[in-house]
Amino acid sequence: MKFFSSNTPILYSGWIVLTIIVVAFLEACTPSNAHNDQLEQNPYLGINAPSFELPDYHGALYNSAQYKGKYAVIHIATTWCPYCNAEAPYLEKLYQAYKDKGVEVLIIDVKEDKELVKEKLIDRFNLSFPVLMDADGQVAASFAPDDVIPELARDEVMLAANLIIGPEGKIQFFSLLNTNDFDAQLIHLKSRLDALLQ
Amino acid sequence: MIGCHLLWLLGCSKEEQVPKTNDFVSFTGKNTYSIPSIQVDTLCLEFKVSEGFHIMSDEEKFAGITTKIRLNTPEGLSVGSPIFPKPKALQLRGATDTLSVFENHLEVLLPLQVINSGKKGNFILKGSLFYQACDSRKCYFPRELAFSVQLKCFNLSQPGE
Repeated sequence: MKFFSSNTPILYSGWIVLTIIVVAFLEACTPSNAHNDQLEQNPYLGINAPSFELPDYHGALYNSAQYKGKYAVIHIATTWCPYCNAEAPYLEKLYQAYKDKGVEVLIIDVKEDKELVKEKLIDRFNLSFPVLMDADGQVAASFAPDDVIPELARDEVMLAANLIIGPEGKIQFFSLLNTNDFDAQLIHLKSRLDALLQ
Repeated sequence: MIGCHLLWLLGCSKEEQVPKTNDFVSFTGKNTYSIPSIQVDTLCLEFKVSEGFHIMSDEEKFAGITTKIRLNTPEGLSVGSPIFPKPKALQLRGATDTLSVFENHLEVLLPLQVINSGKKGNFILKGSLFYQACDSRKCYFPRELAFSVQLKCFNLSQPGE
């Protein structure tokens, strides 16, 4: 019996097409990878968040210890980051909606002049929660996992990241920017927050 | 046979290409240009934005860091303002915001005029492209790409290269 016949190319093409269809179906049925990572595979959940002390625009110092006993939503940003700008109005909405539930919101701005931050971030989006100045990027860098894009600077890895720190100081939500699955309206973060507040 | 195809395809789809940290934009123009003495000419600086990346355009109306050309203009040469191409509008996924960006090939025109070609008749024009890039995964701190071109003057009665 011949292993290859004159019909072999047609059959081979057919199997490839069938395989592609099956894989596409499986991919379509699989929930967003970013969401999956957050809920099931994120190795950073439950670990102690780094401590920090940073000034706001007015020079008032904010220490991570003062958030013990509360939930803190932290967004790491710059004024020029388009995804940070897209999220900013929703962070303000989130703060207004959750501040009476023991939830604090803050932005850590990385390596920018405070007057620029005031103009392009605080005033532009009318933010009523603290925007802290991480002048040398060290605090942002301290949140970055060592094994994520290791060739990038740690503070650069954290741009547009979102975290929830729990009342005991442990990370309860950790999301790095994924522009292919960008969650400007913070749907996943709010979902996690609601679950934590139950 | 199906299993092999499936495994192969899954393997390919799961493989992520990690971007190189500074390999966002490269200068692809010539190293040497011929320019006529006295007459106004236009130099075309060519850049290549790496596949999968975009850089913010030169339009100031957006809050991001705009792309700029910075020049160290040699004596005897007058250089006008860079002319950037029309940018592309990029809708942020999951948001209503629209960015103004450059992708793929970027050609920046530089009007220039030789005021005094001096004895050698050549100029070295050094400059840099200041830009801020994002890709499908992240946005990156601004970078600066240095470039240098040699400008060889010729008289109009003697055609250049």
